[in-house]
Amino acid sequence: MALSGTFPHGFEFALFLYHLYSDGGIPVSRIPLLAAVAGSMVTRTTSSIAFQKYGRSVVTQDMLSEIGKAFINTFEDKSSGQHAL
Amino acid sequence: MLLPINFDPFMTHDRNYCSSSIDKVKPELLSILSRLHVLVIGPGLGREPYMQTFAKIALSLAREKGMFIVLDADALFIVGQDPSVIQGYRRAVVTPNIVEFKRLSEQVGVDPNTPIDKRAEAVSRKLGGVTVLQKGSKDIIATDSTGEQASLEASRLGGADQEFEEAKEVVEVDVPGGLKRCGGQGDLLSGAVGTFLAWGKCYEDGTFGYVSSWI
Repeated sequence: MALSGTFPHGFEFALFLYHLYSDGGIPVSRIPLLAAVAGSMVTRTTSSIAFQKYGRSVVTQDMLSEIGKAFINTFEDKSSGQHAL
Repeated sequence: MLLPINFDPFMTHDRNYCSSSIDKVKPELLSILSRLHVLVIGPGLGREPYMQTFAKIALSLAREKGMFIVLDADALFIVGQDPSVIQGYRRAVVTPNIVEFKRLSEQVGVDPNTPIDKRAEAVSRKLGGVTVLQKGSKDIIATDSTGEQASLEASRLGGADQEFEEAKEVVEVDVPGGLKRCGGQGDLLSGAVGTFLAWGKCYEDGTFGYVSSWI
């Protein structure tokens, strides 16, 4: 994808796409909602990855190292290194 | 939120200490806030009166500056006691868990007969467009800035098109999570939401190179 090098994060790319396809950009009133949805998705995925790895003995500290992976799973396509959105 | 400000915890027994130190804390907070994109208040805050007072000051300063704010844990206690600290400010997200959500909805005066899946929206409406992230087996995220309490001026959006800025939306997130909920996982969530809000702030400021006036 031609633009993929321009955007360091999938989420910013998602914002950009959203911006292109929405009339007049994203209203500021909706930014908290979008951020909350993204935050929720990443946190839940983090928790799931950590549970698969550590099972019942998982503690929150174990989750910290999985955040990056969860972010990639949620917003980026692992196989091609490009953005999933 | 951790206050990297020197003060003597033993002095906090002194009632006058709190009021006299407010003047000292304000400029310190202002200089910190001016360097931040976003403010997360709550995790590890505690309920001691002096911490709650300082958190309220930070909150009001952030509101004046039009920053995005996340309120979690003990900051929700402040909102429950006095919803006006955040009312009408739609640049904020509250992240209550099941117990906190129940308490919050009672405190802001949501009708107890409201169906469970409509409650988050009702709380958001009562808070004037503050986004509510209700944690649970499914996360419900709701925002409703069409109510009476909503205010463009209070959200530092004076001059914006009211119709364009009105949002009424509910999103359910059922991405599978882990089968165990650990203490502190909520801090992870509020931090993640804060990070995304910071990027949202960059978007608003045009840092990514595209601003609303482009299209």
